[in-house]
Amino acid sequence: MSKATKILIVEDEMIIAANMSLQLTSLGYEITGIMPRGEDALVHIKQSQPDIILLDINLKGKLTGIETAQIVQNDYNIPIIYVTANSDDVHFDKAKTTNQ
Amino acid sequence: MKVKLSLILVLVINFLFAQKDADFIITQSKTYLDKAVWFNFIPQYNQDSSSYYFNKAIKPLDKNKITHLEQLGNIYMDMIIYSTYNDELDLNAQTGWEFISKLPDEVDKYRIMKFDYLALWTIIIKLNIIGPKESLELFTKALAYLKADENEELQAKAAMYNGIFYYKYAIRSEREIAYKYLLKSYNYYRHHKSSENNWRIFRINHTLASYHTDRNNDSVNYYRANIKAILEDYKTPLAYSSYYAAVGRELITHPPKGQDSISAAQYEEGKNSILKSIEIMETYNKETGIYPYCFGLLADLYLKDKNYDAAIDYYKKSRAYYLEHKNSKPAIMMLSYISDGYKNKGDLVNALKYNEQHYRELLNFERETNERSLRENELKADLSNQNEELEKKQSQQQLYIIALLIGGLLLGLVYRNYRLKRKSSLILEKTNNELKDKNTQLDIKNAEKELLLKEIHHRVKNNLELVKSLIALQSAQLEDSATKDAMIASQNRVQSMGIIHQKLYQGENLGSIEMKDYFLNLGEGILDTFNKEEKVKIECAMENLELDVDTAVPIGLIVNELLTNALKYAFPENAKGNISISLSKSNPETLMLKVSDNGIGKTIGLAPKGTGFGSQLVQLLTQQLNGIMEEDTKNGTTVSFHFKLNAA
Repeated sequence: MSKATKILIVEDEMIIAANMSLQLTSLGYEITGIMPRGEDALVHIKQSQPDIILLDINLKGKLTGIETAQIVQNDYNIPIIYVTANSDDVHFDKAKTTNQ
Repeated sequence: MKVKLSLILVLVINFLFAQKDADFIITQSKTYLDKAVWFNFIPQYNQDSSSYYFNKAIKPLDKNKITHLEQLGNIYMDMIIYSTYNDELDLNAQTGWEFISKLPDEVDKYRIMKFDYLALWTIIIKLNIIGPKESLELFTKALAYLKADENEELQAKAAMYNGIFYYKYAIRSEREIAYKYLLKSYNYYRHHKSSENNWRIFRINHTLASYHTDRNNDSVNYYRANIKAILEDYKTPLAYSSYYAAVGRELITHPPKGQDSISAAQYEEGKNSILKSIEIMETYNKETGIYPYCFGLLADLYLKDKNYDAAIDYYKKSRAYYLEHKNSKPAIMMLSYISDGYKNKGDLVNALKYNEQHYRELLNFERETNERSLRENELKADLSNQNEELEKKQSQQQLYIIALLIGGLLLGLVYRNYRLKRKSSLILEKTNNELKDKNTQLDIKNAEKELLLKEIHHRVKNNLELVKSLIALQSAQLEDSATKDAMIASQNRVQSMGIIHQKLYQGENLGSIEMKDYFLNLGEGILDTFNKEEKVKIECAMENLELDVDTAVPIGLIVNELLTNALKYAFPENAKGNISISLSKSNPETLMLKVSDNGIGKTIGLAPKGTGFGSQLVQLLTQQLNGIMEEDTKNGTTVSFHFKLNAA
C-alpha cells in the first residue's frame, strides 16, 4: 500500500475544517493540518509540505485564499483545490488566474 | 351740448389770444431792450437814446406777472452793465431789485438771477460810487443766494464777481484772493466766448491787467491783447478808452524790450494813444474813472517835457475829476504829484503847501480806512466764511458724488453677487431637493433591507431552534446516559448559535451583538438544561461590549463549552456556586475573556473526564480567533483567553 496522500486544509471555520479533516481521514488521507489563516498555512507548508491543499477563499487574517495560493505557487508546486461558497463569476475568474 | 362745445372753443381761443398778447408784449420789450443796448456801442453810442429805449422796454410790462418780472430783471441788468455810472443809476438799480426780489426763490433760474443782479450792482455801482460798506453788505446778500452745487458756468460767474469785488475792495492782503478768483473765471470764459459774455471777458481781463500793472509787464500786455481781441465785438466807449489809456501808459512808462530808454517817437505814440482815449471819452462818455487817469498820464508827459505849468494844471484837473467820482485814493495821490510839479518849477511855497495837504489827507484816508476795516471786519469775516463754506460744500459735494458713485458700483456688485447667489442657491436648492428625494428613497430601501435581514436572522434562529428540538426529541428516545449527555451538549451548542441570531434581529444594530446581554441569555439557557438555576449563579462582571457575528459565534461556543464544563464538574453533589464571565477589549486588537468558577477545581494528574470533545472544540475555536488559552485550577477553575483580532 502506497503512502497516504497528505492534505492541508485552510478554512476560516474551524469546526467545518475539523469535520472535513474527520471525513478525509476516515477515507484514508493524511491531514497535515487545519488552518484558519493564509499566513498560518504558509508557515505550516514550510515545515511540512502537503500533496494537496484544500483552500477556502474567504479566510481569517489579512490574506485571502487566492492571495495565499499565489504565494504558495511562487515557491511550491502543490495542487490546490478551492473550497468555497463564493462561486460567483468575479471570485471564480480571480481564482482561475492561479491555474498554472 | 353744441352750445357747451362752442363755449369751450371760444374760451380756448380767448386763452390762446391772451397768451399771444402776453408773448407779444415780451417780444416787443425784448426788441426795445436790444435797441437800448445797441445805443451803448460805438459809433451809434447815445445814452439818451439808450435810456429812452430802456424806458420803452420797461413800460408795457405788467409788474404782477412772473414772466414780465423776469424780463424787467433782464432790462435792469443790462442797464447796470451798459449805462454810465451816476447816482441815478444806483436808484434805478434799486427799482430793478424791487421787481426782481418778487420772483420766487424756489425757481433756480430766479434765484440765480437774484445773485447775478445783486453781485453786478455791487461791483459796477456800489463799489465805484457808493462806498465799501454798502458794497460789502450787498455782496454778502448776493452770495447768500448761491448753493453749493452750482454748475460750472455759475461758479465761473461767482468767481468773476468775487475777484472783482476783492480787487476793488482794495485791501492789500486780499489781492491774492482776488487774483485766484479772477484766474478761475478767466480760465472758464476764455473757452466760452460770446457777445453775451463780452462785458465779462472785458472786465476780467481789465482787472487782471490792472493787477499786474507795475509788477509783470508781460502779463499786462497779454491781458490787454485779450481786450483788443474782443474790441471788434464790444465797441463800448469804456472798453475803447480804457484800452487806449492802458496802451498809452505802457508806451510812456516802459522802454521796448532790450532797451534802456524810451524814444521820443514812442513818447509821441503813447501821448497820441492817451489823447485818443480822452477823445473817445469826450465824444461819448466822460463819466468813467479812466478820464482823470488820462489827465494824470498827460501831466506826467508835460512834467517830463519840463512844461511844469501844464503838468500842474492837468494834475489838478485829474484830482478834480477823481474827487467828483468819490475816488479819494488817486485824488490824494494827485496832491503829491502837484507838489512835485511845483517843486520842479521852483515854487517851493506851493510845493510845501500841497505836500502838507497830501499828508494830511492821506493820514485822514488811512485813518478812515482803518476804522472802516475795523467796522467791516465782522461782515468781512462773514463773507469769507460764506465763501469758504461754499467751497467746502462744493468739495464735500464732489466727495458725496464720488462716494455715491462708489456706493452705486458696490451696490451693483452686491446686486450681481446677490443674483449669482440666488442663482446658485436655486441650483443648490434643486440639487438639495434631488438629494433629499434620493435620501428618502435610500432610507426606504435601507429600511426594506433591514427588515429582510431581520427576517433572515429570525429564520436562521428558528431553524436552529428546530435543529435543537430535533436533537432533544431524538435524545428522549435514548437510554444511554453518556449519549444523552452528548445530545444535551449538542443542543446547547446549537442554542448558543441560535441566541446569536436572536440578538442580531432583536438588537439595535444588525451587524453586531451586545455580548453581556448575550452571555446572560446563554447562561440562563444552559442553567435550564442542567436544572441548576437554584444552585449556581452566573454573573457577568463586564461592560457592555459589541462584537461582530464572526467573532461572537466562536466566543459564544467557547463560553458555552466552558459553562457546560463548569456546571458538569465544578459543583458535584448539588453544591452551590458562582460562575463569573467577563469579556473586555483592552485595546482595539485584543479581546480578553475570562470564565471562572469557585468550584472544586482540578486535581493535577487526574485523567480528564468526558470525551474531551468540548476541549477540542475550544482549542479549535481559540485557534480560529488567533488566541491563547490559560487555565488556572488552584481556587476553582479559571480559564482566560487573549484573542488577537485582526482589524479586518
